Amino acid sequence: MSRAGDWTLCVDFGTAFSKAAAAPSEAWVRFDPEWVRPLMLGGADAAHNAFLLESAVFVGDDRVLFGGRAAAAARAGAQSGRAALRSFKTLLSVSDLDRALNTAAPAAVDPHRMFTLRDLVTLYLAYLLASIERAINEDDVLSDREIGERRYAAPAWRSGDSAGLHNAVLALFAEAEIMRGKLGKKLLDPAGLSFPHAEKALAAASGAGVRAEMGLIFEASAAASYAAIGLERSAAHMVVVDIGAGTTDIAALHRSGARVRELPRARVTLRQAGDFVDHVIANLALAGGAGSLSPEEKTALWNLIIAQMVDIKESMFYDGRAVLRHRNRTYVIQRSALERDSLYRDFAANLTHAFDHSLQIARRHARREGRGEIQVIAVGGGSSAPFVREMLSRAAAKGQAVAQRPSTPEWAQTVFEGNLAPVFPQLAIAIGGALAPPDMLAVGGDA
Amino acid sequence: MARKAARKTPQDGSPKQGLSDALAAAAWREADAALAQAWADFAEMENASGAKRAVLLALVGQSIARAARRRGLTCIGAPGDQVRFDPQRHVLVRSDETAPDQVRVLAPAIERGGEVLVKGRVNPAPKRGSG
Repeated sequence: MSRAGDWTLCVDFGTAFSKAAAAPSEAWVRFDPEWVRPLMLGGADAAHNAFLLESAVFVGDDRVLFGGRAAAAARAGAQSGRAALRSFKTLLSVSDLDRALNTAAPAAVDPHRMFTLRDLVTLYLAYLLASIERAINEDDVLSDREIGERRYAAPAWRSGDSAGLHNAVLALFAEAEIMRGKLGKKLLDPAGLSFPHAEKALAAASGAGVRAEMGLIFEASAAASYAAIGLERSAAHMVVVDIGAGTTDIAALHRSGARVRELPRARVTLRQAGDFVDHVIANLALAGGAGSLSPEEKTALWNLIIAQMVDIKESMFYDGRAVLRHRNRTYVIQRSALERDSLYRDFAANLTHAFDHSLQIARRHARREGRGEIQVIAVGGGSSAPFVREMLSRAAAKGQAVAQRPSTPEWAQTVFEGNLAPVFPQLAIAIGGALAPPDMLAVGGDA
Repeated sequence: MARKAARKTPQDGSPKQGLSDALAAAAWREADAALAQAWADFAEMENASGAKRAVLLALVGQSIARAARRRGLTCIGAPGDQVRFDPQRHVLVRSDETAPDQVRVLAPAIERGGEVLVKGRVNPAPKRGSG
């Protein structure tokens, strides 16, 4: 592992968005929140949130589009059956990764049948690396500093064959780095990358037989890192509930000094997560007044609901309802209706059961270790769901030794004058991964 | 993957302002769409009546709440809540009142990062037994 540089970078290759952050390598022992640097991957002139890069690749007529432009092209082509390749993280977690990657991309994604999934994932990673490079060069602090260590964050549930999957991901990153070197700024061209350029770069990088030097940090460890850093008093045990788009991961961690270990029997992964809740909400909206719509109108309404789901869930969870206008009709989606839905109730019951299981194991371990307190924290896009907040509050109220940590830590609230608070939940894993000491890594960068 | 040689250490000076501004800009960009929607809906609401006006009022409120959250603003309490009077956070509607112990919220306080941006408008809570 390279130790020459004085900064550590962590990439959160998220299901919906990719994020990256850097921090001084000694941050864990000498924490100064002012030196935490989330990267503006979208560029300083980004029209939307510059810290989030959409995880999407779209194969157009003669060019490959990336990020927000890929997502927009996919939305425009949805009626004609076109789609972007998304959810790379889920793809990278399948047990037989090589076989999955060597599969041709579905016709909806690549109607020309030119690219394998591996090609498209590698192209996206090259785009991500180019975006990171641009963000570092544009950053006032990082532009003349050395990034000595690079890491990426992944869910812990892939650790069944952690070493094999990690090596496969490192090979992809290495190929992507070669492509980034060859393609340079062409990767960031808003018009996309031409097929000939893409094919040439893929051919040059294919089978390079090298691995990138990157460490792997489990997302739960990254969450524990940002929640615990800088606290004078921090419990040795922490249960992390991470509700992402594709999976819900619960992990219990035990910290001894700077060393953090997972309690393996406490780990639970549920396939129900944010996307599942999104579909329940969309179906509720359709059931509540779309009966007279034509199939085409229903499809248009469904696409609108899914496109606005982040806003809809925010209003439902914080204000109790979301109001949506589509053409000349208004749809009101009540949180109470969601909470009565049997699928949602099943999800809430499963999650609560899994959380209780993990907490129980953490409690037993804490008792054996003579520790008095367990901290619980919810992270990820689904952490704002009322039942999740209530589940954590109940746990804290039930046992005097259980304390709930806020999703946005105090240091993020105060140092950035509140400005980090709205974007922190989305950047948390990348920031935590950059701050974490080497002992918290699942696999070091020199593995 | 190592980059250029390190020339500075983190002790050189604070980078806080630049990043804080960038984060604020990101939050603003996320808030812009909601704010624009609120403005458009409000214009439509001014000429509406009845059920349509009620729907538009709900939409305006929804968009304002979204824009505020994306700027990191927090609404403390809700109209009708009964809470302990806090002069840092509350203002009595009737200025001749002496500070009461318990108050009823008419309009909530709005805060960001612990800073009170707008004090909540309150009235003394009715004493127990007074209805």
